Amino acid sequence: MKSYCYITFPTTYYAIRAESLAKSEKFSIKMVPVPRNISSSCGTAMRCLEEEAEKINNFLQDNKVVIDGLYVQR
Amino acid sequence: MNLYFDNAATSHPKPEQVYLAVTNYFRNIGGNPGRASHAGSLNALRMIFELREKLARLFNISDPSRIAFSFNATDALNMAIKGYVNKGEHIIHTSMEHNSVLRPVAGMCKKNIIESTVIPADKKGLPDLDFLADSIKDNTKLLIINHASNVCGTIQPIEMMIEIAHSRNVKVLLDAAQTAGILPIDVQRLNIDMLAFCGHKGLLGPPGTGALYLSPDIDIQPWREGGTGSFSDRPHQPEYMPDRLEAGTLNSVGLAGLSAALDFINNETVEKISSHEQSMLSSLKTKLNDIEGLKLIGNHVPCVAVISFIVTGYDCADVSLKMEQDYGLMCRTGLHCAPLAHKALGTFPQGTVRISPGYFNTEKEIDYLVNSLRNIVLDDRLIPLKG
Repeated sequence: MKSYCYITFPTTYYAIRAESLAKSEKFSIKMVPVPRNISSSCGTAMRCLEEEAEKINNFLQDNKVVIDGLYVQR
Repeated sequence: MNLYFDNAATSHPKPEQVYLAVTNYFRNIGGNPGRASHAGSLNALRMIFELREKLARLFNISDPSRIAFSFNATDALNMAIKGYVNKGEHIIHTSMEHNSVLRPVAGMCKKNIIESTVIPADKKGLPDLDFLADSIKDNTKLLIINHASNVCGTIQPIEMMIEIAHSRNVKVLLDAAQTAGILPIDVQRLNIDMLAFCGHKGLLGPPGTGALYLSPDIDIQPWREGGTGSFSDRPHQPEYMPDRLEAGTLNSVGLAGLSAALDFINNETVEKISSHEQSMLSSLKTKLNDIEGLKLIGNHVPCVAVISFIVTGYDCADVSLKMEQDYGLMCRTGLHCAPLAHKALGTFPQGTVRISPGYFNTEKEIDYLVNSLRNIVLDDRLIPLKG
């Protein structure tokens, strides 16, 4: 079974900005509702494969996206 | 024939793609942006995100999240005025302001929250800059400038005014209701602290749209509080922009239209739009000046395509009624929600007839307008004012 990583954001503005940037870099991501066991300030998270999470996280931060947290769900 | 010359109130018609975008969004997307993660909500959010980026490019805004949507320019101005100025502080504004500024400021003064000073303007609608400099006090927090008058079109010397304000640590709120989409506005080059504008005039979008931009070093208290789809477990409004100022469901249908309108403007360019309007304006002014008995009000250069006039000895309401009844010309008459501007221009309380051509008016229509006005003014069927 694949294990996913969830990147969360303080606002939906940053969530969609993150999506737009990640898609332009051809990262395999999907915007999903934040699982309820994760604490987040905005209800939409970016889901990606665990092995790509750190790379995506760094890429987003380099592009001034404010990130709330990074969670792995196995 | 019906010809629309009231674009200073709201632009009409809109570019065809605006109507299509509104219909498409309303029928096929329709979710509430930022409130869920299903396709309807996410596609709505993507549209809003792209619109913010388009506005940021238009006004050279470095961080699009500093743009908060409002429902019109009045709403954006209220957000700025009531959110930025605190008890015991002082606001300065010009006498050319619209009631969208005059009334919120007067309301706060009446409740003894703040005090205000009005900078007088001359008969061309230009402010007394020495008076401005002399009016700044230790507690002065904000200078509000109407970029271009909605009565006579006069463009304010904003660079000089901003320099005077900033030299004394006073922030500037620019009301771009009449200029957004019509004049190039670069918030970074001009050092604009807050920019309020509507989407339904020069930006050619639907009514019910507008925005307030805040420069990175400005924080304001939210005037409207409520749901944002973020920090839902917290009792207070989030600190993050744009959620801080965007409580409640946005007018996403209108914003979808505005987004399409910005594509149109971007394609045409603000320079081309401005040049067409200036060409109509200059021809209109020259021809109207030749009509004896018709007096242009303000009549300053530079100005946007807003012209006020009176016909000596006649009620402006009667003139505008004849314009529509006999010639199908739609324009506005009266005070145009700017009583102090009329006092400065010498047309209070009788007001003026206001003609405001838009990007879709043609030179041929301008000629028809002038010929119709010539007939009306020379026509003795107008009833002279008594006493």
